[in-house]
Amino acid sequence: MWEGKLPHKDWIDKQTADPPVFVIRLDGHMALANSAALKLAGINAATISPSGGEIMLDAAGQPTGILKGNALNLVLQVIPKPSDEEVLQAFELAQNHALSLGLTKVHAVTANPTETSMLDDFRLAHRRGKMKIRVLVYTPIEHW
Amino acid sequence: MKITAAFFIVLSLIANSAKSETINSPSGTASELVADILYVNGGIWTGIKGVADASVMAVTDGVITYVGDGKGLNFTASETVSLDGHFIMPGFIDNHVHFFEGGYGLASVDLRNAHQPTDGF
Repeated sequence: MWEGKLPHKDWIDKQTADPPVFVIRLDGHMALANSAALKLAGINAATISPSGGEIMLDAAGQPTGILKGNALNLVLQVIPKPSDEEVLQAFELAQNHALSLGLTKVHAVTANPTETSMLDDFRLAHRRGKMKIRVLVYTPIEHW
Repeated sequence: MKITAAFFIVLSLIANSAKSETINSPSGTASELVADILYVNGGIWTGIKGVADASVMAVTDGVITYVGDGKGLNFTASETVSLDGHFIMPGFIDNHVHFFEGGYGLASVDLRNAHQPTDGF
């Protein structure tokens, strides 16, 4: 796929232009940011990769837009908190997908340090009467 | 316990989700069982080793009140659903899921079919 190359911000910068764009790989461990997203996250050639992560650089030492591991958090932490309606939309999409596969209960765990509202988000779904699935919410103690 | 062909004929008659049906046991000594929803014609897994799948399940107030072959019982149900031989089992539990991350992924553009860098546009 893609001749074995990792994506590059140049692939999307021209079309995406000003809005920051962040495309996360299916497994959540790698992502492509366009130049606007890199700028918003304060990532440039001088940014040091965080522990457990990598800001990929090209031969000239410039970020390619590819972020790995904990480097994703640099962008994730500047994404505005979703509205209640966006939270509920994500909840229902995930719930319907789970139910379609025969899952009647999930143990939910946070995916990264920026996911601080998981318990509140499930509570929101519960308050709105949306819960069809059973959930065990593993909440980091600092988010309780 | 004895069962007759008549019992199965009654079952097949209500096969297409009839409302307010009563299934009559051929036996005069049958017990009554009232349920909200009666599922029939299923292959219902019970987890009991060496025992054949059950065919009838009754649910009231969202709680399973009966699983078995229906023998010797008179059922009265608000709704009867034929499972048409489909297999029924308890739901799966996924014990490690990034639930909202998955939901946001489903809400986002899907690039899995983008075979070239320009396919996403």
